[in-house]
Amino acid sequence: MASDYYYTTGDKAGQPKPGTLPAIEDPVATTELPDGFPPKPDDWESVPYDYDVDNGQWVKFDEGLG
Amino acid sequence: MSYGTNGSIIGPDNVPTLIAAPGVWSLGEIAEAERDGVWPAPFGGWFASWDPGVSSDVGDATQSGQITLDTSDNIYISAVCNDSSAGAYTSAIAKVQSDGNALVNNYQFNILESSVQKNTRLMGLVAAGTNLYISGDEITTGYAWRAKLNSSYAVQWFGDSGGDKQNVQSGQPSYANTDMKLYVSPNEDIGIHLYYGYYSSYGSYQAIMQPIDAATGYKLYPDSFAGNCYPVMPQSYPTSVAQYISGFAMNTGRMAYIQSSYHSSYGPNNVQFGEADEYIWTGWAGMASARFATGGSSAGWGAYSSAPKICAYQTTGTPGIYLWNAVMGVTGGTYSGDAYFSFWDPYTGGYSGWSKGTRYTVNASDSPATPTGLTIECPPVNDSTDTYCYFVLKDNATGPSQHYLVKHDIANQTAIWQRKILIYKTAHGITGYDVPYIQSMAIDSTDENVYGIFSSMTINTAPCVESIVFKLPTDGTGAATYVAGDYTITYGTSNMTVTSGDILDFGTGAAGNSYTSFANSGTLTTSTSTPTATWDKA
Repeated sequence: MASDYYYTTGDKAGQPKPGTLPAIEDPVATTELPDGFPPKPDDWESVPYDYDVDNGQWVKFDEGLG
Repeated sequence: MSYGTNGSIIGPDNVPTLIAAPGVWSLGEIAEAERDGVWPAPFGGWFASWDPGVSSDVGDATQSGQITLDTSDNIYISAVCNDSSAGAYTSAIAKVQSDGNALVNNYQFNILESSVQKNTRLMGLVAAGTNLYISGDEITTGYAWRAKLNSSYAVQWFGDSGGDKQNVQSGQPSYANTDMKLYVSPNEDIGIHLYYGYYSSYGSYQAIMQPIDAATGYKLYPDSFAGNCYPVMPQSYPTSVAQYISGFAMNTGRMAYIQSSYHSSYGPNNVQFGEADEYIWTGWAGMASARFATGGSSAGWGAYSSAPKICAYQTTGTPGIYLWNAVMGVTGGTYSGDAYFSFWDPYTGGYSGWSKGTRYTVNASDSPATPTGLTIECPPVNDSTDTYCYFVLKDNATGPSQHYLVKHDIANQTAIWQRKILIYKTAHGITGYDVPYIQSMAIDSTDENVYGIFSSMTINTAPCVESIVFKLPTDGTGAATYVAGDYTITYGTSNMTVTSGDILDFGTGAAGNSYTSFANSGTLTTSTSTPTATWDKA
């Protein structure tokens, strides 16, 4: 069974065929947070935080769970 | 013992095995087989409590438990040991007898720099062949690490050609967890090391997926391939919002990732996922990444999963190596609170080739508490034929939080069986804040048993130094109440509602890039000791 999306033989085996990749975005690098976000905690660079979008707050990432 | 001649008229005598007794049997023959323990198979499962003996003060904890089976089905477990009063971390690794009667060995595993023990956490334990691939982080200065051990825990390699400390950016802290760790292909040719760190150009923490040579531990780019095999960094939009990977899997040919993602135009929370060959040969440019929402096939953005998990198919060759299963808790939208299973076949369907969706809805009557939703912290596992997928869901109650082990029929979108697992301290009963976590499970080579480890346990509001390890038959037997050390474990039928139907709504515009600014540095060594462990099998 051949794939419409991937080469499965030859040098390109495993690579996507032309035109089959979904469109992606080029990142626009910025350190500015989106409007409406709470300010960064003081230990922002040393402690990983995740944004809790439902409660609009920063939460320490993986705290106690690892 | 020879058995009486079968009552069959046609064909040869039937011989029973542990899992099958074909043909026609008299009651006497059944009694003989049962008497001799030949058929049906006696219950071979167990629950056990494991205290590695590293930390023992009030407040100490054992976290981030891992379990893995090598190709001979030897059982290895690991956990992080936190001495809370000293603020110190180290780790333990052990081997368990298959019958669960005892530990084969138990070691404290330390990482040192200049002969000084560091605050390290071992949070990745992956067996491939007869070797163990371990990984984790150091939390005082912040770096990730990786190593390969043989079955006697002797170090085969540690770190990278450029150094033993792995950082996303030089001079900035990096960390790992039970999702972002070292993964290794079952044939041990390639590994992919996931870790996350502060990246000053974005002003946020970002995760990378870095392909390595599993034989040496060295990064593929640029050590082996100067123009290929770039690490990949998925990104938020804007990039100032941190990005963490919650689900990752690889098999003998390919890799896949899945994560909650923030993008101001898509939700803003959504699920980003992607797939590529195990070398990630052309980096981000060749990775088939896209996004989905979990609110329904045409519901648009809004519903998402905060920590989706993914597992690889075990079938080798094409198209098996392209196939994946994902399990996730749903946040927002019509199905908020449900857990959702889905099968991804990018080989025939591309990025939107997800199907066989099945929702699991918590049933409050299954629990002593009143849960309203389900999540998952542990990657699912497939059996060897990819017929069934096993996963453990966790409900959102806390007094107690209960788990649900599921044998899921992938093609038929049904649960073959589902079992609740409730853990509490016998002395306290079901009275307090009881929240264990399971972050690792495994299946043996014969598809007869699934294995798991509950750790990071807070029982009766107090952290625990014990983990609960289990081996349970895939036929669903073993429903009972078990007492393992100080803990009571109830294992019994649950009644989550199971509903088939696809709920994913797809979109393009995934964000990421190939990333080459990582840093390797330093020299680390290891040491082991043999603390007195406590192992109590129920």
